[in-house]
Amino acid sequence: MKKRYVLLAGLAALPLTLALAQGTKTISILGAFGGEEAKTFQAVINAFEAKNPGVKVNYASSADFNTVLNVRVQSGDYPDITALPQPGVMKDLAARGVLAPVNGLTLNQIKNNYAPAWAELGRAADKKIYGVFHRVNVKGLVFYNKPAFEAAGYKVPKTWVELMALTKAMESSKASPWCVGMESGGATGWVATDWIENIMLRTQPASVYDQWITNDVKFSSAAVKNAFQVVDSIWSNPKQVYGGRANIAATNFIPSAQGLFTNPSQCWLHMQGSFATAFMQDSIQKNLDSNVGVFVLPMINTKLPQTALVGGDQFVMFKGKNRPEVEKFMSFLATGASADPWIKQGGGLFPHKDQNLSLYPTKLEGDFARVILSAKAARFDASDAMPSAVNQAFWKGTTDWVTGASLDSVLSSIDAAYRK
Amino acid sequence: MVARVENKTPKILGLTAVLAVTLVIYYYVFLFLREGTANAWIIFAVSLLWGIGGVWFLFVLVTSIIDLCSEKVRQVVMPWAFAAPALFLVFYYLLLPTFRTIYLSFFNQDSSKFIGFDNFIYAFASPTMLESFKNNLIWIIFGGGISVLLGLLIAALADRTHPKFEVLMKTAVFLPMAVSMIAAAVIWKLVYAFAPGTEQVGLLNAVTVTLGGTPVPWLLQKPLNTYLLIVILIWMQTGFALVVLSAAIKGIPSELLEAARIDGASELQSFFKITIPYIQITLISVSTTIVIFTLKVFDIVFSMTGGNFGTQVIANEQYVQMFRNFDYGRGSAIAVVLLVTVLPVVYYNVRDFGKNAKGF
Repeated sequence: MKKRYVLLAGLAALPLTLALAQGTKTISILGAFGGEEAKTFQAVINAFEAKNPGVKVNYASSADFNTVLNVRVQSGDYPDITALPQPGVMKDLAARGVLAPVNGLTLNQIKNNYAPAWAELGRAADKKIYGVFHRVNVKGLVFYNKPAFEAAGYKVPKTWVELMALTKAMESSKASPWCVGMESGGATGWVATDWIENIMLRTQPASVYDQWITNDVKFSSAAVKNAFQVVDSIWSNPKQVYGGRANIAATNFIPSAQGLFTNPSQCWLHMQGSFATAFMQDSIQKNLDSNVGVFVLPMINTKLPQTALVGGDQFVMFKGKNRPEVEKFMSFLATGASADPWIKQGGGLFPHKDQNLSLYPTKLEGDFARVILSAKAARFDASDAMPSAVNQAFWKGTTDWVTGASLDSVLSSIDAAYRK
Repeated sequence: MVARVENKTPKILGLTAVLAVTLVIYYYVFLFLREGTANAWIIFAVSLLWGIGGVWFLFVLVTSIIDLCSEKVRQVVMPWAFAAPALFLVFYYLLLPTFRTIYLSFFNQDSSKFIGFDNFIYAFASPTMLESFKNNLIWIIFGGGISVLLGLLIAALADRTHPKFEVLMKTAVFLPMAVSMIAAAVIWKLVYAFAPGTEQVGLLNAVTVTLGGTPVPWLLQKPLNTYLLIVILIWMQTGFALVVLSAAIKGIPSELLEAARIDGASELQSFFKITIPYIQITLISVSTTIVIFTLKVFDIVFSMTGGNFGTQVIANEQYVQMFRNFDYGRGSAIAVVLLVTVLPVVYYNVRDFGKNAKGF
């Protein structure tokens, strides 16, 4: 009997000692990016920890981020901070009342250190700002194989008309004008939705784009339908796209970016976000500046102001977790000091006004950052800002459309995903 | 013999008090582990100690309390004490979620509003679900059917070959069973891979091009793509059917077959009149197991096509609704539909267990 009581006492003492063992302050962050990117983010964390001894920051990522986050929110098991790639999710969480808005210092920094567009993207329906943008990207860039492009005597097009004339001229060469690949596992479709969004911003005023996100402008409206038709005029022309339309849905987005540099090259142009350089062949990545050329997809309706299509992770705090050290980390993220360690490593662009542009390892990345800083207006990836069910329907709809479903039925099925 | 009369009540009460304190402590250990912010090694040590020592201690405590009780009480309580953890787990992890799922299926997206049968209208009438039902039926008929038939055929033929060759063949067919679903999908994705032009990475397209054809994006070909996915299932499940059926065939007494031969039965006759009836029960359990498996098929579709290109199945649509769209109502409704579809098969399977396994 005695032995049992000893054991019992041992079991009782255990939690006590454990409670004492937790002395240092820790901040837990959950995010979607892992692997190389998480390693680079660690450099940002190290910079913070060096300035704030006694605070430990733990970053954890999940490949199935949305599911994991949702399950943790459902069960009330919040991390302190999470990095959300989709503003739709931020608005959703804010509406459910589980987030804490940024205050004081951080709020001031957002107002002073970011273009107003970024503050707006971090704002929820209750007019409060929740999100601090850190690493961002810009979409609607057209990449080309610089040496080959110059050797062929092609000129970078300044207008949509010039671009169309250029691609027409390219048809007679050995390579196709465009490489497009949209296969992406469970996320198949995002390449197509990016194309549609880019065309929307180049044919319609930004206000129409905003109404499109909220379904005040329907998918079946003339404006959206027109964007699909513009994309269709390129994708459905077997002379314009490498492998023709059938190849688009069958090709993964990563090899499609490599088509520019295969031998012989498959195509001349590839439209993608600034992150596409990471998909290119290792030999190309080693020397981006001499291999890769890039221009912004020109405006179709030239009367409209140029609006950049952007994406990026915004960091938000959970309610009840805004301890001083957590607030401190959030305000750190709003400063250029948090951007610089990542800039140095490459693979990330930042919207901070006080970032050190000279740190970018390649001229190309510096140029991307300047595109972001100089954009008068910016709009977020529309599909990511739509409700998740609509985003899914949009992805699936474009996939069905590319593989042969009729445009009208696809558009009305996406509209149907908006409920209530 | 004179029984030593002893009042055991204080002892029982004392141990019950210890039990209560133990449970409270366990609750706090649980809270500590759930928090999960401590050093990883401490968490590791606690879960090891708690997981093994804790269960053992609880067992000792409960059995000693019951041992002190009278014979009558003991006989009634002891079996329950042993079964309690299992029953609790079945209740907490199976029954409770089932009822909650049924409950949620009558509510809207975020479970805040009762909407009656709307989710079930979606589950039975939406184009995606109709496509899923059709595809699942194809999976059952072709995936289940061919796996079992092929397994039976190979088992019967292998039984007649040299034992060494039989082992080799059975191993080769059984091997894919050891591959995980996702890994199998990765392998087959390479088989079906497509690129325009003449240089092909995909095995199937390499063959096509060598024979003078043009490469085909196989996974986009409706309705062929569903059958191509089913091939993966057959590749994996034939081994299972083969091993179980082969064991059953080996169990047929040779006298029976010999007697049939002496009576002049042909090989085919003895196969259909003796072998099949003899292994009927095994055949049914193998078939029902594979049918349940095909009804729930998810991994292959999820990783090969993501349910695109007309290959959607019920389980994948449920995943999409629940974990991508976060529509708890529709997700739950589809789960209920899936459960109801599987239940008769499970019932059939379990009923046979009861009939044939004495003492079950």
